[in-house]
Amino acid sequence: MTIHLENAINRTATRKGGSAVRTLKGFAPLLPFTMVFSFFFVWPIFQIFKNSITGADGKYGLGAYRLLFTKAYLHAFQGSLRLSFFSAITAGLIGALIAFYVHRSSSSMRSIISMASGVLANAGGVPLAFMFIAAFGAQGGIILLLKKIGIDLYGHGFTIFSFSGLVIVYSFFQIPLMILVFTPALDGVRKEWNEASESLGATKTQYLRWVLIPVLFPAYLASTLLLFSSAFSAFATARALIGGNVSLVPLVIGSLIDGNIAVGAEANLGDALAVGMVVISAIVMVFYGLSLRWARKR
Amino acid sequence: MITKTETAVSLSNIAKHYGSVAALHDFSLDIASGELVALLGPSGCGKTTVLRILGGLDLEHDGNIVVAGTDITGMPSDKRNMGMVFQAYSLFPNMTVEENVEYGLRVRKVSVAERRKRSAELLEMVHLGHRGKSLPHQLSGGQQQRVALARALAISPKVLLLDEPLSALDAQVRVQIREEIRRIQLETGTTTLFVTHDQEEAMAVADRVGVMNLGQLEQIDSPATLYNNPKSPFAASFVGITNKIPAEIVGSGKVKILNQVVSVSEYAGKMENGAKVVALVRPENFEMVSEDQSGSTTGRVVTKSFLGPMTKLGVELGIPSLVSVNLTSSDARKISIGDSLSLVVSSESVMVDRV
Ligand SMILES: Nc1ncnc2c1ncn2[C@@H]1O[C@H](COP(=O)(O)OP(=O)(O)O)[C@@H](O)[C@H]1O
Ligand SMILES: [Mg+2]
Repeated sequence: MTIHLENAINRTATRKGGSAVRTLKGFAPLLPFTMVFSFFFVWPIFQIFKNSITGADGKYGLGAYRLLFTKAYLHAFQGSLRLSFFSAITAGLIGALIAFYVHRSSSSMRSIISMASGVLANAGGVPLAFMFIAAFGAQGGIILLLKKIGIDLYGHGFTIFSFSGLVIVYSFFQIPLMILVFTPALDGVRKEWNEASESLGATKTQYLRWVLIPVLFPAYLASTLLLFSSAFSAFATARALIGGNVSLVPLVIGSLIDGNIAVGAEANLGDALAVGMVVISAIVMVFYGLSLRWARKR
Repeated sequence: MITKTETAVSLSNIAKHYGSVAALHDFSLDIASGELVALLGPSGCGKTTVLRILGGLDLEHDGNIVVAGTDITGMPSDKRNMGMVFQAYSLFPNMTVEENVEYGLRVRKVSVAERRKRSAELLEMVHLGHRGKSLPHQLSGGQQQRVALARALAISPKVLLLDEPLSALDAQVRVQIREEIRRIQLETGTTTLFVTHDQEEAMAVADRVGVMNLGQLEQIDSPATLYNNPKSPFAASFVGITNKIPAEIVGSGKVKILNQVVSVSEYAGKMENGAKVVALVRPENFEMVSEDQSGSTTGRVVTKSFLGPMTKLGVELGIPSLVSVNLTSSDARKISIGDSLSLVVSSESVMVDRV
């Protein structure tokens, strides 16, 4: 998934191309992909959708969806959206700044950072959560170290088993992901723009405001939307770290699957929640696609 | 006609090092007001470096720069008021064509109405009056370069700097746009430095052509002088002399080429009898003669290519490389590949170089 989307952004950096893929002939090589995609993606979604509207008695109905709009489950969606939003904004900004720095550094530095980003961007999940507990938990190494020099984070109410803790933990794979997907856009920035701007008498600030930021904004937006959806669907890290402390949709689905025996409408509530996630992801992806198209015009 | 007396730009003793590599060495150049000087030289000879130093994009160098009587050495680019046109892709991709052209005026806080008027004039001048609202990616490479030119001229620059502005375009467009650049340059009277590695291009647009080699200016002269009287073998090789024929000095000021003795126009070495040299002979400086003419050399035609009014022949004359000979197409019509052909050098004198 990550690699696939990363390529999509890569294409925006090359600013041309793309139209060839639209020709009918171009689809033939995509056949195997289409088959795999259908089997692992379209078909399961269809099944989930079917289950979500099938009651325990085998009859169709929207009972599960009615539950979806009750307070507890709306709360989970809200939690998920909030977490995705904040972690995407934070990691997007930090990642973009690092990518900018990487872009301007030597080529060996670049390959080290992009390799590290490649590993870290895929390093979510349980190991990451435990790494964090070991470092930032109440008895974590870094927390104790900070305590020794007089900074008592937990004394000030901080805990990683919380919303802000999750934002920080997510940053650990979100920032590298941002670096990966945003660097190609930076590579598309030509030094001639800066030099032309300078020779025309513009200050650095004017160049930033009038050229660089407007040029990069679409790609930045696309990358941030990608972070949003990656955070939105993350499950294992959150689960390992906070269990039930913060209400998030994937965690709720997880607990439903885990077999709190459900009856009636609740039997297919998990499916309905999953459909809700798919819908939200699809909306995000539409905006993602739009910003990619916008970026490609740059 | 603009009188080109007053010195607009004076570069003195410019030197630039990248680590231990000297990109420029003791480079001096004066450009008269309203003049177009082309810098010509192979890739890596330091042309771009000169341009960037004059434009203020590179401030770390030795030597002095005086523009219109003011020493501007060390002044940053944004204060120099010089227009630059780069090889390609220099338009701001997020702005329309007219916004690009207006950029420098916007920086100078010119009112919107006045900006629009000026950009419309300039776009008209580069024949793109109807494309003001287009985005750069909607234009062809040639159109983009014309917009870049209009953008550079919008600020009424003291000096216009062009770094191989045509090298990314195809041959036909290249000729068309270089003529436009020259027309506009004459119209506006803008002092211009034009960098290129294309000999024909430099000769076609410039008042004077400076031939550069290894970070130095070898010769700077009008195109005609440079062509007829290149001062060094390097300059000669850059203005169309392609044949290097082994030869021998015979007496003072004379050289024996193939079976013929000709005067020497230029030779840096000592005129020692019997010294082995190479003679530089232009393809068009051969004449087809009958086989029994004294001094003629006979060889076999190996290649033949028709170039419109001229036909280029490759002739085997018993020396290691093929000799390239240009004949008028009417003379060459009856010659086929495989025929034998007798030639003499038709020019009165030739340039000679050490082996
Ligand atoms: N940023 C740089 N770092 C190191 N060497 C450079 C740099 N820019 C140019 N050079 C060297 O300086 C010399 C002149 O380069 P340049 O002015 O770009 O040549 P040209 O424009 O004639 O092709 C070349 O040998 C080139 O390799
Ligand atoms: Mg160059």
